[in-house]
Amino acid sequence: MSARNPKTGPPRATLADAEVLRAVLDSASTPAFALDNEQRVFFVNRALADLLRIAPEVLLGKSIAELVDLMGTGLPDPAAYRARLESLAADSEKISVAQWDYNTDARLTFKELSQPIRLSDGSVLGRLFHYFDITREKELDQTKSEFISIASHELRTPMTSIKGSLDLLLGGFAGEVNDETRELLVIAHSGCERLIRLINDILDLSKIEAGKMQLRLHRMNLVDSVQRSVRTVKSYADSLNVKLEVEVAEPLPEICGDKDRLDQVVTNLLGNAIKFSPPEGTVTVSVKAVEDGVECRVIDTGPGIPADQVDRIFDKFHQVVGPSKKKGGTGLGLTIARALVVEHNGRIWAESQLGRGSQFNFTIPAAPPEA
Amino acid sequence: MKVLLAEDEEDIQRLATLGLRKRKDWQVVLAADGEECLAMARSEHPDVILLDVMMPNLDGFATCEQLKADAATRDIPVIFLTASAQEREEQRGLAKGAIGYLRKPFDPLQLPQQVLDLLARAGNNPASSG
Repeated sequence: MSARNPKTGPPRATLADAEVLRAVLDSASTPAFALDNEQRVFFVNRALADLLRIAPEVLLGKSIAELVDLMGTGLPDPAAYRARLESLAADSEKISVAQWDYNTDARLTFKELSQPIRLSDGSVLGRLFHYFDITREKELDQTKSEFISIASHELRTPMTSIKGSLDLLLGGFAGEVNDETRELLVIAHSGCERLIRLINDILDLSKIEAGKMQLRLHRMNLVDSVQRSVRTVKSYADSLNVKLEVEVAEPLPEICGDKDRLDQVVTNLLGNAIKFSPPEGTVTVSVKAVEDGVECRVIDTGPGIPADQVDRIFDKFHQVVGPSKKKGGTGLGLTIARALVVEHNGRIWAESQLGRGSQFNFTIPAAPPEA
Repeated sequence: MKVLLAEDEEDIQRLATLGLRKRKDWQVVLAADGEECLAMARSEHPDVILLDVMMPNLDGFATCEQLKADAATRDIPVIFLTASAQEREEQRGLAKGAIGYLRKPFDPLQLPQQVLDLLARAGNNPASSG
């Protein structure tokens, strides 16, 4: 069955050692099975048989339909699972990752990894399905989302008291304030606003990571989002003496978008561009039609991003390290912007040259023609 | 304009009241929870109700539902004013029949105008814009 070489010690398995391979796969604690090219089960490991509480010999030779029937009420959606297995079994190339739920005494969640079983000559023997239990991770994710939601609510309430009081004082409610007092109140107010942005960003990110971001999609023109966002950041740009320019190349196709979320994306990109622009600098936002939809570019004349950081600029809590570092961001804005663009089936990317400025671009697919 | 503010946090009651009363002829009556809000909606006949969500006894969503189920209060416009910031909560609030959903923190001095804008958008004619 296996050859023991006295010089090298332990026995080495060869391809012919089916029994050894079966023992190896049986020893794995992660459930697995394999289908042959006739789409019948030709291998089941011990972990899967234990999970299903069905003897391996009962499962062997079964078709996909029979396998799904045997899993019975354990499957929350047997039809969907059967369709996925059939589609993958007919595909000799695809490597697929999916979520698979199975009810035993409790509902378990698995990550299903499926890939063709390929021999050394390239021929395909069948397809392997391998299941990794992620139930605990899912529970932790849920707990994290709930914690963030509660923390967000609980932080907002005292923030309302602090910011509301500052708003009233700054609004002259308690009488005129002198310049020194006003300066201190403005500092406190801006700290509050930064904290609120952080709370909002953490809440958004938590939703995105939990796959719970709900877009309210309507047919719209991206230019409207750009114009609203320009109005939003205008006073900020003025305060830093940065000029804003808008270039629109008509005609533009409509897109299917969530107006508030796209405003958030453009406002974030513009806010960053203004923040990193020198006084007298210019931020240009341009919108034009491209092959796959509409493209928006936000171009600044700031210090640029070091080449080794351009790809990481969209990562969570990443802030550019170097002489250009400026305070005031949450480190989440670009992560959220990217996630929102991706939710719209769009693309977002950055280009930058040190000393010459940066350009943030995103595209949103055109809406399908109206019926 | 008579505003019924249902809010359990005293600080926030005070701040909102200060902001709302900056408008001439605006009157604010306070309820500390959902049940009190229901009773005062019937007795005080407010022009608009500002409703917190997380309150003792009866939360804002349940309060809104009951306001809309009662012929005596169903026509009073309801606006949520809440720290429950998630979109699904906003959708839930609007589905209960509210005309608007304002998130905390809010600027007390902007609050009257936000209320007027929401009333105008919903087609209500405020008794007085102050």
